[in-house]
Amino acid sequence: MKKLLSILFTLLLLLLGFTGIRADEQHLFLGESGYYLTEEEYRELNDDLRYIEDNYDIGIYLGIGIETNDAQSYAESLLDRTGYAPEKVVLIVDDKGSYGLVAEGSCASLIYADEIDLWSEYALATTYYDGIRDFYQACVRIINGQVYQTSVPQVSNDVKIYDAAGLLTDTERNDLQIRLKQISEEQDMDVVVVTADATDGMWISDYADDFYDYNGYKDNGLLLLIVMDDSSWHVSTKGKGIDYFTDYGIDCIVDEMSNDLSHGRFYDAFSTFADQTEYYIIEAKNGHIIDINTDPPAPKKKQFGALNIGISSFVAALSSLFSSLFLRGQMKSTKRQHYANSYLVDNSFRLNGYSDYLVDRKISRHYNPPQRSSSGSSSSGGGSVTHTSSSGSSHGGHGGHF
Amino acid sequence: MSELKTFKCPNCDGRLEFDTSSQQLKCPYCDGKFDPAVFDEGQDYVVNNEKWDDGRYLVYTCKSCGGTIMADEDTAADSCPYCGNPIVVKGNVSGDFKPKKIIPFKHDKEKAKEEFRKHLQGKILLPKAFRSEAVLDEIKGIYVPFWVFDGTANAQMWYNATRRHSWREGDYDVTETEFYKLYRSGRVSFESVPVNASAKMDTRLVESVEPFHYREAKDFNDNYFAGFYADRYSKDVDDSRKMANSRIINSTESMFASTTTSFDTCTPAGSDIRVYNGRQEYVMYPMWLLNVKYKDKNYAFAMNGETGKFIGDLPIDEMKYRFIMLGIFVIVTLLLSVIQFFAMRG
Repeated sequence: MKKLLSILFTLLLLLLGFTGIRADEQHLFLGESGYYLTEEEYRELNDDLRYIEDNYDIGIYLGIGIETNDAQSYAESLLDRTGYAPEKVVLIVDDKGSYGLVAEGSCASLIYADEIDLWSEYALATTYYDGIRDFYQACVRIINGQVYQTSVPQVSNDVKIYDAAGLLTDTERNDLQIRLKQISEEQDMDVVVVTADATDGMWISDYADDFYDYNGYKDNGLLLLIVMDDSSWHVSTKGKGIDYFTDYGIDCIVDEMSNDLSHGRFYDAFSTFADQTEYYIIEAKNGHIIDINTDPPAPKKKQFGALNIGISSFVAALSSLFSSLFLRGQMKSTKRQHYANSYLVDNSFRLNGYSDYLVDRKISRHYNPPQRSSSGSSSSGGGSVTHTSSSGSSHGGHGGHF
Repeated sequence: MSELKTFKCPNCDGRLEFDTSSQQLKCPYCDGKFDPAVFDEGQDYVVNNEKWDDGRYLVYTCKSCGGTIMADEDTAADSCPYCGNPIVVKGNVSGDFKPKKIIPFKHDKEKAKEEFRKHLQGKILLPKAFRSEAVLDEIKGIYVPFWVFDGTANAQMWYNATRRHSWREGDYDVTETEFYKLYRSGRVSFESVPVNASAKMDTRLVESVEPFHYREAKDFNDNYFAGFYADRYSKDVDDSRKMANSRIINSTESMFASTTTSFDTCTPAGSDIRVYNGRQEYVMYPMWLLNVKYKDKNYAFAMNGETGKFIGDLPIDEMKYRFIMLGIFVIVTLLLSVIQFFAMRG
């Protein structure tokens, strides 16, 4: 599949070179030989780049490991021929590690400015995936920097629930604040919930990371961000939070909340988040990190109560009933015989007429959609994928829609 | 006037009895053994002083000890209550009353006692005192008269049946139900279905020790009666045939129903079963009867003299029963509650 996609991309480049046609929705922003990225990563990055073009009018094209002797002129020729966005950035990295970086539109002067080193955003990352991500996020930051104010609200690090979208009543907010603060103190990790109407053009993950970084929260913790304008969520983890909350673990937690989230029961959803988070931290501290290959979490802690005793006595009543039938049955051994099976003549049973007439047929349909499983994207391996936020600290976590 | 037959050893004049292990008439004194199928040494005695006693009993004089033997009119074999000498009332085993076949006893009295002990084992609800206080009041081997019938059932059966298939189409569960009308016809034969022919015997008890196997039966000879009790038949053969045919019809229905198991539901919609009886015979089948007295009540037990199958209802200690039920309820409730409690604690 990867190979196929890269061949398609090469073909696309060739085709564009000859005909100069405008790329349609199918077009690819990312070309690589299949050696650098997993299929999952490839698709995710390509989707992101398409999203950027659709929403920000910035076309960012990357070719990694391209066989060419002159990456710069390759990049220039591609810039001329591809895309239709007003702002375009093309990065070509050849198979020998040289690169060509060109830009068009109002961002060109910024990209070419000496103080901005877009190349190192790519080159300094530890994996190709991170490099590509860092590169295009930097592009968006730089270009949007002219237009938008990219800052997160400033709050005290005592604030564990910041409800900018106004999803909660005062009482609910106070309840959650007390609960989250208690967890944060007991576990020595900050657990923060933030809601916002929009992220003001910021990447949702950047918004979540920055909110955590710039408001003086502890080095270990996690933050749940709910953005209402596109019904998305993001969980950002930091420090030990990255280890304790794997991508799979985050998916499991959000799964528990998803029903409440999609029905607008935000207080319930956030309460679940608080309970689950506490459970995950305690489990992790006991050496049991919930990840893709560990048992699914069973944190439904319910109180032992009348129901349990009810269940017990119901089963006990059944046991008594069956024992009674057995024990009393033992005492009775006389009965009239109503059958003559003991006196059947061997092989005397003969069927000489046999017919099964189908007389009617009824078909009923019952609507039963499959259960929605995990929300958001998930990587096939376990663990946490990390990235570096604008403040320079490392974050994990991911997001999705509800 | 009635003829009585006694069993005297031709060697020593000792009293012959049927021995279940050797299946021979055996003399306990001289160990002489005689084949009951052919033994015939002029053992018949004419008894002259027969008379009715209050219209219900016949009174005989024991030829061996002179004691008085009282027997009812159906009695075919008995023994003297004083000296134990076995007798056969010839008039009740000859002519119309002569059975065609007899299954000789294969298990003796000791086996019946042993099976009774085994029968009490593992019965938790049995009153504790029953094992020690119950008295084996009487134990006797009886040849029970039976009518046996052959029957072939010709049957036509109709059923309404359904069959279901389910599958998924997109987001839909689809269920298709097919409705069928089934027709079956055929025949099935039964052989020697026994019906208790003695009005004195409890039919429930007699049927409980079934089955008896006709293939084990020998040609009747009253020598097999030596040492046992026997009654002649006292139930009408036509009524008995109806009972046998009702069992044959029930079995036929269940056998035809077993041809419809490939359907998910099947209900009978009609049937026409005709039973054609052929052979019918008058036979004697062996049974040990045990009468047990416990707290002034009689409990009847029975053992099939051919197969050794032992049956009999036992008294239930109701206090013990309630105690056990309560105990199970409380213990299971507590146990499950504790398990749940700790499971929730994690």
